[in-house]
Amino acid sequence: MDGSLYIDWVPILISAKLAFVTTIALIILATPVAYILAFRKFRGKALVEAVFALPIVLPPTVLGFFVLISIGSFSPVGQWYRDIFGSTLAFSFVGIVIASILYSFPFAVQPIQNAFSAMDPKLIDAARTLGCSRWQTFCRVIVPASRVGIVTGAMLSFAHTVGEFGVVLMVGGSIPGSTKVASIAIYENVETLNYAQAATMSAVMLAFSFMILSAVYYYNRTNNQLAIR
Amino acid sequence: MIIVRVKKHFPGGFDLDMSLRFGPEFVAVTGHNGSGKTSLLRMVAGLDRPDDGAIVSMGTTFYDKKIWLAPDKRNVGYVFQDAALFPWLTVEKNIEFGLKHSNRNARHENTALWLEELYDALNVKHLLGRYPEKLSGGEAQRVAIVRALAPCPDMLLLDEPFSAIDMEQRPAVRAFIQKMQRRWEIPVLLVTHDNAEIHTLADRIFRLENGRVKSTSRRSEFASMPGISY
Repeated sequence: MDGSLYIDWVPILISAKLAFVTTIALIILATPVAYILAFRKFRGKALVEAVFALPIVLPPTVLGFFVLISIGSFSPVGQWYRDIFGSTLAFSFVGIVIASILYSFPFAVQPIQNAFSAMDPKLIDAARTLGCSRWQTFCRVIVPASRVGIVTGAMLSFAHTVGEFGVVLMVGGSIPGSTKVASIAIYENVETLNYAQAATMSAVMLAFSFMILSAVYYYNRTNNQLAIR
Repeated sequence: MIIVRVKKHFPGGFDLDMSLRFGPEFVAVTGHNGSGKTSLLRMVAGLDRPDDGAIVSMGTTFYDKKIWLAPDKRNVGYVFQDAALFPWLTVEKNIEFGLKHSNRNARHENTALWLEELYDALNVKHLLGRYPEKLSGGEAQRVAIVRALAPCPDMLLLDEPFSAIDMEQRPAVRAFIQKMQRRWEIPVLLVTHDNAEIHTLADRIFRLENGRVKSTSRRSEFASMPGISY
């Protein structure tokens, strides 16, 4: 057992980088989906909502398996990626970003969708009669009115991605410096009886997760008190 | 001339079928709750789409079988019953909001002077730095009126705009809106239950019932009947 207090920061930085990229991508992708689910009526909406919520209930290994099959070298997506970039999509950083986006999708969509649904529709009407196009109304009214939900969605996506294990392991393996994230590094340290390293990294992750959740609760509390001012 | 001929079926079985014709005048729309007053205003503003019919305002087609003019292209000012101010913006920013986005006819060359006139007339100058949550119902409604008037709309739609304003300030607010209607010569549609408002302001009344126009009268017809109930 290695008793040194040296921290291997590389997996932690990969986790942070993965969470950052995933969160940015999720906000861009989840916002229009949340908008459609909140404001549009269409046949089969319940089914669509169920599909987007699946990652909450599916075991991460099951989701990871499907993603691996979908982006593996023998899949059309995997072959297309290899033809363009000359490398495999599975077991790469891009691959785990895709898996993370799918895995954390409901954690971004649901808070944003709830915020859109809860806003006063008269504000949208007021903006339209004051000369705003649909896009301007979205940017100048719907986003500011829903910012608590959007920030919550971003923070939860970030924290959820940092905590990923099964999906990343299935899709990315454990390639040091590329797909070996903090949660996998901790697992491997325990397996090799390197408890000191596992404990130190776990403490960093615990502190980080606590900070993110505290920030979410504080942000929600202060903004709700200010009536989303 | 404004021609509104609309049909719409609402979920729950309510059918609206109305035909109205009026000029650039002060028009009162009255009737019981659920008679279709607000629905009429929303369709004229472009916030709801009729199932059939046509809406033409001063030669511009807002809606017919082939044309749909989006609300932001109609140059219509709308004062909602509950003010609908943006809660994250100060009163001043709420008022500026419409000025930034509308591409309306500049009836006032000097915007600053025009805003000063509005602030004084509706007594909102002392509220400019406040957020809507710090306003009383009457103050919020006065700000909503300023916000709708500021971009100089080509038509004004008022959904019971005076109900929250206290009795002392109400005559001045009514008089100012009437003054603007006369100055700009625009149609103003006022939804109201208040007989005094109708007698003070209206050039024409449409009384609605169950989604239809039950009666129409001009000022010359109702002015001599002070006791009439709407």
